[in-house]
Amino acid sequence: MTEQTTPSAPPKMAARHVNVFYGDKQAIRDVSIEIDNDHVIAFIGPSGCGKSTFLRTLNRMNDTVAGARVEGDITLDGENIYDPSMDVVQLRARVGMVFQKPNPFPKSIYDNIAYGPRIHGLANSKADLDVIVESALRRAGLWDEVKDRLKDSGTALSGGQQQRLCIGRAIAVEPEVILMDEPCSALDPIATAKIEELIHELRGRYAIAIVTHNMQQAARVSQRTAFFHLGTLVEYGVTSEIFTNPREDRTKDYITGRYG
Amino acid sequence: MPEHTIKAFDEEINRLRGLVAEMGGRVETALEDAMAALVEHDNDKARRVVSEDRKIDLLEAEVEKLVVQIIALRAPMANDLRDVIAALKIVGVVERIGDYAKNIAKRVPQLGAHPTIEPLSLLPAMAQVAGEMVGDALNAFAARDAALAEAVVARDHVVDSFYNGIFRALLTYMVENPKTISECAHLLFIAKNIERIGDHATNMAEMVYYAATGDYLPERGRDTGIES
Amino acid sequence: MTSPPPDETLTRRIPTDWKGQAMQRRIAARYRAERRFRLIGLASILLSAGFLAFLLVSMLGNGLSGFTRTEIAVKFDFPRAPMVVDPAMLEGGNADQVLAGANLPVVTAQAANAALGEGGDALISSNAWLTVRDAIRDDPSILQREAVLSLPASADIDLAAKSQGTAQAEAAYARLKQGGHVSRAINMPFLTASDATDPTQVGIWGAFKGSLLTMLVTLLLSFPVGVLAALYLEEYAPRNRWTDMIEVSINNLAAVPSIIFGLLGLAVFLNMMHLPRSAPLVGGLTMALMTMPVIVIAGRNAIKAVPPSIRDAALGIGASPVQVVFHHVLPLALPGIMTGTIIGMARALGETAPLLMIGMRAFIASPPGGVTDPATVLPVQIFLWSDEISKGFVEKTSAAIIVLLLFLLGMNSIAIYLRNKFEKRW
Repeated sequence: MTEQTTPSAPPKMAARHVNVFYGDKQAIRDVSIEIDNDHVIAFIGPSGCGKSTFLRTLNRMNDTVAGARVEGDITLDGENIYDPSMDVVQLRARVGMVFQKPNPFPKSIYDNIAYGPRIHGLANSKADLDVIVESALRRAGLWDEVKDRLKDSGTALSGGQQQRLCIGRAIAVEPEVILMDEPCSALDPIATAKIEELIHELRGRYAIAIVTHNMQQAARVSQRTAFFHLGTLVEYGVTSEIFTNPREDRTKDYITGRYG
Repeated sequence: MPEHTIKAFDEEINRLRGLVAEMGGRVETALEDAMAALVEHDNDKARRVVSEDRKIDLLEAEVEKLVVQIIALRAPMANDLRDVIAALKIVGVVERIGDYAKNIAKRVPQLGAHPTIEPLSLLPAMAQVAGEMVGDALNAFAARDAALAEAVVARDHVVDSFYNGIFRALLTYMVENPKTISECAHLLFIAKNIERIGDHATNMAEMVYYAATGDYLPERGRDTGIES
Repeated sequence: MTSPPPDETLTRRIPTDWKGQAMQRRIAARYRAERRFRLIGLASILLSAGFLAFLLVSMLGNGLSGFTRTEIAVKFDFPRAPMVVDPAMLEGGNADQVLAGANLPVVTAQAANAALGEGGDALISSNAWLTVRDAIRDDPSILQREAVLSLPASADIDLAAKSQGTAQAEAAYARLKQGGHVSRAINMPFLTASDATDPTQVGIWGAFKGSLLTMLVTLLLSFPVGVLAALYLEEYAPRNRWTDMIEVSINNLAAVPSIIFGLLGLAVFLNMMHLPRSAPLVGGLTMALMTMPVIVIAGRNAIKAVPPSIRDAALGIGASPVQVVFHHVLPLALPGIMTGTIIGMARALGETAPLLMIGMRAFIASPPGGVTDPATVLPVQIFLWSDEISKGFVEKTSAAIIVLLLFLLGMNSIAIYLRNKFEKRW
């Protein structure tokens, strides 16, 4: 397999020779990768391999960690996101994030979705906002379940619903890229399946990167898979290839359950 | 190759390999016995071969069950997945080879104690090559030996040329001596069966090669001039 | 193959005898220990409840009577009294001035003598004429006729009515009672008046209002400053030696004895800044210094307790750090901050020592009109009254304590209400 990802248009997001340090410790070594609209990319690897760290450098969530330092280029539509002229707040709106633990705000369902559009001034009127909230909830596959109780607290929903609410909250600000950090690790299989189906539906409209510990999940939802180990990108390729015929022994040992 | 973190997975894979190896051993024996029965006109031995085939079928069923179980419970990935799938396909082929051996054995009584026909002497040699191919393909599977599998594939043409030679010889025989037509027809079918066994061994070797490396063998010229 | 165990004892272990006698004894001992522990806990709860009950009972027993007073009915014959008051002049705002010049104390004493016999004027409070004045002011028409007014009894009689007086007073009280002159009524002036020298005339309102104003100043100053300091330290300040030092200093500040804050207030606010002495403003400033560390510590803990996932969530959809703090962190931390605030405020409310230092122990006979007027506060008032020689102050002290406790209770109730209102569950 020698398939190179060479799309005609420039990639939505591209990382080139990225190194990440926490103080003296190097967490990511020379990682280059591309994220684009036409495929979901899954980051897999053992705990502490740097996949979450890498994901969080893509929307500069690591900025909040003291002592974190990033080298190399990460571009969004060709713009370097670590450039001083890049506004972090706006970047995080353009590159949305869904976290491991469903973390809805302790506010109403409506306010959870409306919060992002409100702070970014995306709605001119209450009617506008209503439309945004409904469409976000619909795209998150949650509308039918919550349309009669938008005033209820978001924390009163089930875990799976909460996670879909969080996805809805992320897409309400119309991001260009959505990063998901183990979005299903706290959910039961049915809720997981719903999220995976949702990811499938969102593909194409948004560039999606997902970190997962569940290799079956990576195999199910992604078209590209990147295997990280000890901070390096060991292998990156088409998902079906990675899971049937990995090039690298480390990848093979990890996905067949022979790791360590 | 390191062991799986889950030991029971390794045990199941090993059991799968064991079953495939056992099946291969039985089939090789069946082929040898069928050929011996043919050469020696030993009808009893031929009958034994036919009855033993039942055990091969049972083994195939057992392997299929185990494969389904492993896929369902262990969700194998990468080389494990390829191994398991190869095992499933190989036992199907091996069962088929068993059927050919049975078919050869079934023809032994019908040939009767006729005077020896010259091409008959070629058949055991051809069968030996085909049998070795089967054995090597199975050994390659057991050892994940891609080189051995490749060698098996390369030997297919030997069986094919044996077949072509026998085919022409038998054709000449039949033209010259029409009384031998029924006998020669049987022998022709036997030769054809052995040729098929060689083809199946080649297929097996290709599966083993894929299972071991994840890549397909470069496509060979399929039309190796088999005159059927 | 499993290697043989390194230690022979590992293989020679006897199966545990779960039913054996030793095991049964161990189990019994375990249960005994548990019962013992429960009993000790219960006992300590009962002990503290007992102390609390004792405090409440003794305070209520002593203090409740402080809210009532003994009154003596005295008949006034205003038309014949030696006073000249033009009823027309009583209209308008200067009735008090007019009546002040009307010789009312003499009129009152004469009426008392007439109604209660010779020496009657000693039985009623020396300030009883104030009651007469108020009666006239409220209804000038009584000047045209005879009227019976209930006047406060003197401290001696009041005490005698509560069976604590001298033998002489008790006898006088018995006589009055026979004459059907005495009655008991709610002591309204106690709730509306300020400090006085006569225990029958004292009121708690001045000190109450002083406390209220002081607390207001304290709250307005310490809450915003404390919360902002806590927010900055938790959300913005880098973790380094300086912030560690600030943290240690704040923790130590919370433990500094309050008298030292009083000295600080004296030195800084009075001597350096020349703020008015005895004023709730200075008291509130001093108390704010004392309360702030408590709020900062409680606030930091409450902010720390806000799950980081909420911060991540807000940052992840592009909220700026300030938006994260004010939209998410602060609302979630507020109940905890308020709990800390109320603890600090309660401590400040009960504090006496620093206020003594800045002069809030003065005798103030009128309630403060603003934060710069001289005032005293409830605990200081209690302290002052408990120091008085006159026996009539004993029950007033207890009554003041009851008022203080009620103040505290009211403050805590508001805090609990607010906390429940803002508390969010997730």
